[in-house]
Amino acid sequence: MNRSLYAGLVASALTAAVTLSAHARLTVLGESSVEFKAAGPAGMSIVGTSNEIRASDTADSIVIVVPLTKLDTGIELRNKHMREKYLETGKFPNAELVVSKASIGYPNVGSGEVTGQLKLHGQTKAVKLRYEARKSGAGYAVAGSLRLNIKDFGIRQPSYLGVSVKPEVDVAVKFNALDQ
Amino acid sequence: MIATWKRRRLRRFATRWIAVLLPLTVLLLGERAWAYPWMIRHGYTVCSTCHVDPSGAGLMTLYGRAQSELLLRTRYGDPPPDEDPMKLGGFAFGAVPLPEELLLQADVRGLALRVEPPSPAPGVTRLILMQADLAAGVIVDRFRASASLGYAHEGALAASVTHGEGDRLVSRQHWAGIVLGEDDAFMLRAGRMNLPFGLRAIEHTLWTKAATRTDVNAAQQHGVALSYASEAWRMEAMGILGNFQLSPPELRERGYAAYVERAFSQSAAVGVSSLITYADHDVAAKRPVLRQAHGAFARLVPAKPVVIMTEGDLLVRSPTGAPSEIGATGMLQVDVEPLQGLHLIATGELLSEDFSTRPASVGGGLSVQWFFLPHADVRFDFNHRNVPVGDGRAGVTSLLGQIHVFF
Repeated sequence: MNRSLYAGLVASALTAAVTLSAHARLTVLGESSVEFKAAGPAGMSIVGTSNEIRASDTADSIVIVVPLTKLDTGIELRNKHMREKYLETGKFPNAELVVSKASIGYPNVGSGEVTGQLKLHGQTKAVKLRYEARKSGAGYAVAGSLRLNIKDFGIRQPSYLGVSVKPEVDVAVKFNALDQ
Repeated sequence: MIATWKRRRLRRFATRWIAVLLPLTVLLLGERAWAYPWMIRHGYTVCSTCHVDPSGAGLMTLYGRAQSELLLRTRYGDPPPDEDPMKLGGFAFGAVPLPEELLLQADVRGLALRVEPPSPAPGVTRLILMQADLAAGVIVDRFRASASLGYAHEGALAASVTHGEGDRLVSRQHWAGIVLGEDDAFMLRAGRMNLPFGLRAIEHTLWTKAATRTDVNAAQQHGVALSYASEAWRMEAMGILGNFQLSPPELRERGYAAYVERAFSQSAAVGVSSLITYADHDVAAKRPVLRQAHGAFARLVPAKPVVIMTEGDLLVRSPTGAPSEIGATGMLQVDVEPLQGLHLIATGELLSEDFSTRPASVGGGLSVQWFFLPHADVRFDFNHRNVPVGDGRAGVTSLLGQIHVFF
């Protein structure tokens, strides 16, 4: 339905400052979630979710990847419009967020607001994100959020049958990370 | 001789029961108009996206028609790759293209009713045309307007625009207004509108609707209303000027009705309602009456197939020169949708119109509603109500079958 709504979203953020060694390889374990929320007129709200997130690290960065084809807004036709008309997941299947380890005080746990590089719809833009990382069992529980404007990434503003969705989209991510 | 006397007495007894129970039966009639608060199961906590009325019910927007196709009815097989819900969801099954600014909707609803009163009163079977309405709406920039005109063979007297006891024209709604603010969050409108109070349930005979006189069948009033809708809040307050389709003017109620609902998530919303009206002449009390209703309501989705809806209202009637009558009404309804379009509904309700003088009435029912085709649904209800009658109580059981088609 809506060809509207959605937004594209994704990827978000967080990361974490995990107490990992400089040579560690991040991996996501257990339950994870990514959720985006877009708003329409008169209180209309569209929420899309996915449980699929991947995380990895390089020498100086942490990389979080969200497969966009897994996002589900609860209405199949809306999903179809989101993927095909707006996110164009055939060409751009993933959203990817890169955060420098230095900016988050890696490898320490903590929280704060940092700037990362978000690649979405084939375009990379700087985004501000809030994150929190804390120890959880043998790994780390990470949560983060950001707000993006889909127009900044070349995504058209969704509109369907007279209902248009705002281009600003809130994204929230939660996952558990473990160093290997 | 004795046999004749017994027959006469039996006939009198049966007649008396019928006189009591037939009105009850009418009160048991089920839904009339669109208004599905269980759409919260799909994440829709607000109503104005799908309905022209910002508080829900009745004429749908184009977006609402698309949702009707996608979310309401049972889907058979995989959708085609080029699926367009407006091909079938549009006016007249999409056969009559309309400009985007114009909304049209025709609703026809028929009912077969079987009532089983206590013996020896005979059962009653009736076929009733419950609704034959044509509604039109206009959306031009910030301007909104909506009006309905229909035919009623019986009932819906308060919405009548012609005289006579039967075969009348009815107009349940006619209003015009403007949307205001960023995101069209506010709507200011004037005309004849549904009263903003409690859950806008489709079953206009629920005691929470009938006792508060806030149903969507014929309880609309003329007035001015301001609504607001955001992701977390929806609310509407209406200044009631009276039902101008009701004469003489002394019968008209003036006052206000309002509700505020807070959505804590896309699956939980809680609200409060308030209504105070005054009429110079109340038909039952034969004197001026100040009427109040204040209550709370909630919609919860513990799991997507299940929606729990509940409402409780305090009722106060204060006839001039007479003691106030204080009562209450409440309902609990669980709607389960195991298969898209198929609803299994359990409802319980109670009513005490005056705690001090009358015992409470209780009722309950099981229903099945199936949106089986585009623009069409059927519903079957089994209802039982137990009400105080004189010094005793009476139970009346009803079976209802309805078919509803809209274009």
